[in-house]
Amino acid sequence: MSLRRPNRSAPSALLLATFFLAAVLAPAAIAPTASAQAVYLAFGDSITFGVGAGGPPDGYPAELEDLLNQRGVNAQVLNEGLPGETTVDGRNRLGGLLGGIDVLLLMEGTNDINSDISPETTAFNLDAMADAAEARDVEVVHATIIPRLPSAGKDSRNVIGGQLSGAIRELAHEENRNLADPFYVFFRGLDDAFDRFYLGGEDKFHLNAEGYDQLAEVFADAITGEDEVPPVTGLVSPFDDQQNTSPNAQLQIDLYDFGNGIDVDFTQLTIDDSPANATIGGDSRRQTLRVNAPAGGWECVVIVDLQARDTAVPANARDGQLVQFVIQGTRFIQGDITRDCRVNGNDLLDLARLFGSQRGDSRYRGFADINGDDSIDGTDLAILSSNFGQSSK
Amino acid sequence: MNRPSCRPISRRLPLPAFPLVRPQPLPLGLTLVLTLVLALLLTLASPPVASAEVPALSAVTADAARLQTLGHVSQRFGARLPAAPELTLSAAVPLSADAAGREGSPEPGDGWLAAGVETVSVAPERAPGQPLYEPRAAQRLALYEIRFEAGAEAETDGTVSTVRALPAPAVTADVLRSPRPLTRDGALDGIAWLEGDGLRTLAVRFAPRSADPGSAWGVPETVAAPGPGSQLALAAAHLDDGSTLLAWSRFDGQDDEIYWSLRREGAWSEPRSLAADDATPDVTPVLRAVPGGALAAWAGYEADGYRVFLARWDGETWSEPAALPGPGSFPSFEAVTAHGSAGGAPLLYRSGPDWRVIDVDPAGHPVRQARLRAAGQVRPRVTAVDGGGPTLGGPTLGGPRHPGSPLGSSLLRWEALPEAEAADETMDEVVREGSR
Repeated sequence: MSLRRPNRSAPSALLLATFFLAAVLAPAAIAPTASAQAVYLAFGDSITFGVGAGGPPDGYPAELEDLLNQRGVNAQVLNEGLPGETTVDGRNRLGGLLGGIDVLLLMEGTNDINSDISPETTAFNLDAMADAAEARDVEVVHATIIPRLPSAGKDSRNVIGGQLSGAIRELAHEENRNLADPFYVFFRGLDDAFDRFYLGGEDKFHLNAEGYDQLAEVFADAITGEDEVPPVTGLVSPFDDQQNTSPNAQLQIDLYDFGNGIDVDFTQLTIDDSPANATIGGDSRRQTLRVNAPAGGWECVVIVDLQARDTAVPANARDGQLVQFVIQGTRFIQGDITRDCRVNGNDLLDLARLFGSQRGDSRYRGFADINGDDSIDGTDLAILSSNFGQSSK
Repeated sequence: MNRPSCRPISRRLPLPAFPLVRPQPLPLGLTLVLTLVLALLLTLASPPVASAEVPALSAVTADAARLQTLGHVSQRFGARLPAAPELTLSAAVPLSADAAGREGSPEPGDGWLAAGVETVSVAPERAPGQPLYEPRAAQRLALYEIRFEAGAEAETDGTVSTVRALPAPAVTADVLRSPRPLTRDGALDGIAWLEGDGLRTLAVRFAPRSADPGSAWGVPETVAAPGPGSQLALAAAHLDDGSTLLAWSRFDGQDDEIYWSLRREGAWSEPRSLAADDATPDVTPVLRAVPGGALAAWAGYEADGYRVFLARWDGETWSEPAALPGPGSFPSFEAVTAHGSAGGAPLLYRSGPDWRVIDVDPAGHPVRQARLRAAGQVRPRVTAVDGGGPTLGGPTLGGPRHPGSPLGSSLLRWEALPEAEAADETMDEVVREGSR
């Protein structure tokens, strides 16, 4: 799989030493020997079933079986995806399916978001399913959910999906289980994933055939121990897109790595383009970063960037915006397209870039349509100009 | 993380990729004979009880809703709803008592009240000398009255004659969810909803209809402030003693529990947990008013999976929750009002690969059951109930699709409930039956 790899750097001696140490300490990848065929049970909802790819045998499990056998793992992968299923019903269904199974690939929860099931209960159900499997000596690979398209009716910004995925990472870490992380891969790891790997149109949730191939690679990498994913987040507080955040809120980020481990000296937080004075604790498998609110409290919108990498060679790195939250009482001036509580040249540049587009165009962005008339035009420029230089901080 | 106590599960035969059972078709002649014999037996055996075909409005997509009348026949009337792409209808209740209680097909003038949430732009006031601030994207409650006209034939759809926007409580918030309109004597009488800054910080709110003839709504009341986590799955019912009952699932810091509150003489009781805190999730409650109280049902985790629990409110206290047969999830008290000799409420829930209907009497006792076996994920509705059994129809618009689901309209037979020992049926037993 080919993910974005920003800031890849040459490994230092320390990095190599950390890599070897992490390789020894990391839980063994679930890849039985080539001589004995292992039976994998791919359990989940419509994503596992393969809606969009025509269902079995065209979903990810069939492709995963091919990939594993190509990589020397003698594997049979069974498809037990059931479209529309929540983890409540998944817990009730799984018990009868574990006979003769060696490894459970557990990816479920996206329907919980639409069914009034809390992320806490979803995580509980996934843990209960994993416990039931482990009680029968079945190894478990957890998986985060697939992000949904920005045009989805519910959770269009993947806020709940991101929180749920964080909870699944935390669960996998606490229980020392393997993890496949399609949420990271499709949300941040692959360029233009929403355009390239989703059905689109009326369907806001399902992958196309190429997307399912990518998903199979995510699972194959997790199973065979190929580390292609940089450190990922668990709990993030305040969460992304949180409104009315207390000005005195402490920022807390849990960071996990399910591959070679976190390059602990490299992790860096940036808040509003300035390095943050974060306290960092933990180890190469999990780090916790905390930043207290500045004297006088946070103002306006707080944008947090995370720079992190693992100890793989070459390193899997991430460098970009992690969360953005809005402080209580914040109001935005018309024309503040960049959401920094001031109207300045940056807003003008953004407007110029999108000028002339209309709703329906690929270039159109609602946030720059200041008067909301479905067209980014001279009227919007006039409003921006009238407020130019104003600040709401 | 709470760890469920899981007992070992014996080995089961592997299921096919779909846990669907497709019985071999009988010859046509034999089918006709059997049908006639069955119909004759049912006629002789069934007591002369009331039967109802209750139309219902399933309002489940952003711009369309479906009026479901007999069995699976339905009428889509999306074009008649306002052109508001940001509108999501999520609940509908009969607006007149006649529409809910009458036998037979709907009649002209029958109405439904559809409630939803729409996203709007709230423009701030501009103070002199201040810059022009952006409008804020917010959500508000939406209410629509939908009137129905019956079709020419009893077995066909009718058409929607009127869609009229009604005044809703003037509430705007970053997130509104689960509006639950309440009617009394067939008239809109209140509405409950969830409201907050985000999905994890929702409060439970309620607005009564105003006693002031010049104003449609009273001042919104807070039933439960935001808790330590999610508050979801709001259910509401007016009771015959004049009180209003709400129930919802609330994360208490450890797990989700069913909380409830009662409004009596204009004041809400302190929200309390309906059952003892068992450190495992209880989710998706539903309520039904019955003579002298109310019934509550929900899905709760027990030992190795979810089961449906039932409790009765007698006006002062809740009965000890009782587990219903088999695995269970997503219960609903169906809209059918006149049915069978029990005179209670048909409770529908998913039970492994099956759908199960429990006939519950007004005292909250399960009387008998019926099962639609291996019917997949698509949620049916109970469209009629009589002494012989319930009729299930479906699917509903926008519900989850299960390829190959044969669900149309199914007449089920009542069965005796399993004995107390056998009632403790595990999910594996049901899954195994479904795979035969």
